[in-house]
Amino acid sequence: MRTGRPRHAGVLGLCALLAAALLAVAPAYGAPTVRLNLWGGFPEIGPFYEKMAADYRRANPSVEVSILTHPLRDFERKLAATIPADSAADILEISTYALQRFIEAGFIPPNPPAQDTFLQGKAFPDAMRLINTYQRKTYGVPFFQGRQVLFWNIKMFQEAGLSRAPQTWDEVIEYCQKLTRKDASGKLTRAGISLRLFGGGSGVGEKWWFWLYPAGGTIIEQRSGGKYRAGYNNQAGRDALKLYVDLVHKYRCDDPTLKRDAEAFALEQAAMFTRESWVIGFVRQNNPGLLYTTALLPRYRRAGTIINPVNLYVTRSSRNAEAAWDFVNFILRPENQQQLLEMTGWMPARQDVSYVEQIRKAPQFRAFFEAPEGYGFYWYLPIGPFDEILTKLAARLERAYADRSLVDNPAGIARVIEEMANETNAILRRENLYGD
Amino acid sequence: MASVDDPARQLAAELAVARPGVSRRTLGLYLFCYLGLAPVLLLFLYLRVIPIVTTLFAGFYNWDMIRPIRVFVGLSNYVELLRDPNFQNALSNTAILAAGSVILGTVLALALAVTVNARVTGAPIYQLIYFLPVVTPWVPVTVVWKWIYDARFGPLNAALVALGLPPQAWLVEDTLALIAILIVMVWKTLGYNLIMFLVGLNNIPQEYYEAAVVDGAAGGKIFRYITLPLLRPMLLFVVVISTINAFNVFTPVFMMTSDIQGAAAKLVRTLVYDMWENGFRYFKVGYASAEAALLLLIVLMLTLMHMRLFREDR
Amino acid sequence: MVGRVHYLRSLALHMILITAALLMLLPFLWMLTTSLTPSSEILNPSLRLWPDNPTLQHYREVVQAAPWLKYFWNTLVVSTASALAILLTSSLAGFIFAKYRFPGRNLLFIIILGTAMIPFESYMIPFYLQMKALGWINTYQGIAAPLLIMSFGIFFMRQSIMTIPDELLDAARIDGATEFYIYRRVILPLSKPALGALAILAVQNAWAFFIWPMIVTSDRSLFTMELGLAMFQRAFTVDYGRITAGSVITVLPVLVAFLILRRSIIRGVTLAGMKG
Repeated sequence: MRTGRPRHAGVLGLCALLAAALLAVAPAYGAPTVRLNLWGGFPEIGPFYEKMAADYRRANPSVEVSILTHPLRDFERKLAATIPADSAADILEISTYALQRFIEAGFIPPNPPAQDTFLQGKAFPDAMRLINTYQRKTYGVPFFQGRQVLFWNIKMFQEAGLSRAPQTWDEVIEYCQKLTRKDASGKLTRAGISLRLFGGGSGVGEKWWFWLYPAGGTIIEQRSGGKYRAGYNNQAGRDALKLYVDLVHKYRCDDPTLKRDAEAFALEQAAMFTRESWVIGFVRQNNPGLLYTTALLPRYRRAGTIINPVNLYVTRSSRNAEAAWDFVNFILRPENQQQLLEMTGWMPARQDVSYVEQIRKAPQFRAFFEAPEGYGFYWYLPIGPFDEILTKLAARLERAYADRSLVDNPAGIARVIEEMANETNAILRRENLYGD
Repeated sequence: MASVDDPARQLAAELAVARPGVSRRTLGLYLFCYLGLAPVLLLFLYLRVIPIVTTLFAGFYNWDMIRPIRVFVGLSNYVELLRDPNFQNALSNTAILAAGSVILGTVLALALAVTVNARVTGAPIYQLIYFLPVVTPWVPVTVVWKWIYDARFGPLNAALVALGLPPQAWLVEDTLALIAILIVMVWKTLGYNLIMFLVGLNNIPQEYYEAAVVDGAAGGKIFRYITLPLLRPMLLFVVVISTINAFNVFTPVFMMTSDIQGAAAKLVRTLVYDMWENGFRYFKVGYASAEAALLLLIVLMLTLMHMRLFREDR
Repeated sequence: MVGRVHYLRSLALHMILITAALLMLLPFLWMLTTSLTPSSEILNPSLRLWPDNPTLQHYREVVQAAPWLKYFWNTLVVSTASALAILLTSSLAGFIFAKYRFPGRNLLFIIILGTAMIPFESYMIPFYLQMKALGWINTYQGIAAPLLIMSFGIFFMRQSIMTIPDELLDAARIDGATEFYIYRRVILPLSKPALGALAILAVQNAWAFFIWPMIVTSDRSLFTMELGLAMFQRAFTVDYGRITAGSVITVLPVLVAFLILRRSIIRGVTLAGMKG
């Protein structure tokens, strides 16, 4: 009989055993009595959290906080799977709009009295209290914020004979042409202004907003009775789209093949662009020698910037909610808010803390803390489909920016805006939020 | 259960044309089959069939994953999908990638296989090199290709300039981004297809070629009338596998073209990416599930079509 | 004369093959080169095949940036468990589908193959909820669960076992062997090359898996190499020196394993195609 050697049965059994054993090696359970998890969507804040966890543990040896940060988009996906399954971390760091659907569905408990009072007080800008309120209850404590300013490269401006940032749209058009560089073949080697011309996700829509708002429009405007509609199907929307199309195709201040955004600015491929304060930390990491500073966003019919609080929340599935809130309080202490600014460049949420020392060290922070008379703030409306609306809008904007035929073509621009608004309103209608 | 004196021939015959309820012996064999398959099938049921069927069912509901409410909406997800410009874009991108990678991947691999098979020295070394990308995981592969394609600093454009050609906006311009992804897909799978074709070529008995040479057939004719027809089963295998892989493409798209904070990228939307976005970003799980069902339907139809195409006797 | 033609033909063939081989290898070379290039040189667009001043700086930074050894261990655990489970299920099912006829055989086989036509990402949400119900979130079991079976593995083993002559099985039966005994003592020993190849395929598959581990882990200490690298890449986009160094670190074990096992891998892959 031609059969195998008997050891094969043994090998097989061993395999099964080994597989079972390997899988049973569960993660070790640590010594501390309270274990907290904190998840965040900004890897660059990771080291700050690690430091906070270590500092906190010194005072509270029984509490161990483990930190996990993902790049933002991946983090949002992860929340989508874990929050509904009640398996997310104790503490989540996320902006209000990204968590709104979960708040509405009851996965995030409202703030305990102490945190509620904290948020109602003068420690934070009024806007944050409004943004973080849903059905008369507050959710989450603001930790830091995204405010947009204009970053500009001092050296490039000087070379072009310019001494300050553009303050109006006309100046933007004028300056950026002076700042753009081309090689012998006419190909752009440096953008006068780096615009967000493409990129998956809502970013394209958000960056457009920073021009739409000064023109007098907004993405979604509130109507009576808790209803909404597209806020850009008007002159403002058409002006903001025309500005982009002109800057790209008519004045050739930017080119899709150039690097984008913070990457472009840090690599000295763009003379200016708009972004949040984390760029300061980013530049320190990637090009410490860069000579640059910041200014308020250029005005047109009005002026203002976005305010986008990123908050700390405690989930309903946390078994140590009290300890979790205590750690949140610790992170929000004045000295730790200052440290956040210093370590990461992200603009802290608390306005009752002095950042003079940090601004002295890095003057680029100044524009973030400025808010002249009449300077408006706007924010992501806390409605569920906002992100979807902005992302779909972004996809259409992307196509429009690439469309050279829209140059000096008011009818074409009006048509594109109209189509975008129809889509936005259709999504609102689907969610029963549309009102004219 | 084995009755010792059954002659082998009868047994073989029974195995070949087993009809239900023929004999105790056959029943015993059935029992073995079902018992043996049971654990495997249970695993399949739990790890594949249940989640897939749940997904297919979800396609008929308006379900956002966050709230327990599921509203039956019939085919309206499908109707909305067919009108959705993102879905249309994803479908056309995926179709282009699939067609491109199947055609290029098959033709190039076949050409290389015929060349390697032409009794050159060092054939095993070539096989080994061509197979390297196959075993390399996707993430590092995409990392390095993203760098190669970098419009400003990447070596590919540097090479084009060195050759006196204009640099291209790889991963930026729509068509070029598609081509860039396509190149990576072909690069990654070429080695696998090549090995499969080598097997197919080796399975063709040498006598056919000798006979053809005696009849005075030339190289092209031999390939056309002997190699290709006899290679048909392997062609079918390669084409089916490549089609399925191409329709399920996600990691390279996710890693090379989705945006990252501070470094925007031009998205090449594919079906799986669009599904991922609808499900995990907009929480439209029902909608994403309908998309998954359509994907399955498309792949299924293509597979049947290929089977027909390649099985057809001349 | 004939010799000369033959020589030219061979030269032409080698030219084609070498060009193709270079194209296949170049990306690996770029990965290595970039990882050794000082940051100051990386951003000079040039066709450098080797840096002027090679440096290990990026490697030093990368090694500090993440616990790669831990990631490597996690990957090893998950991929070994996955490979063992796949070997067991695929060989048994492959054997039964290859050598027996029973009611429902074709249907079951088609269902098993059919599940491979739909990507895992599309049914990840219901799958996640199932794992949650089992309490397997953030565990090795949870990461490995989708990898315990492989449709292609069953197909592969069936193809390979079909090449084993029926006479061997019949001979064993005449000697009084039970069917399971045949599986253990005839089929498994004769399938060793195929099992080896399948094991490698399974390990490689598990190695390349990262979206699911990203969703199911909530603890960096359970990250796999791929996930670690993906997160690293998406957090340090601009720093090509570092991300290519990270890539080299994660590719190295795979390539070394491949070079050691190259024979059985290629032989095994070939086996899958044997019976068309």
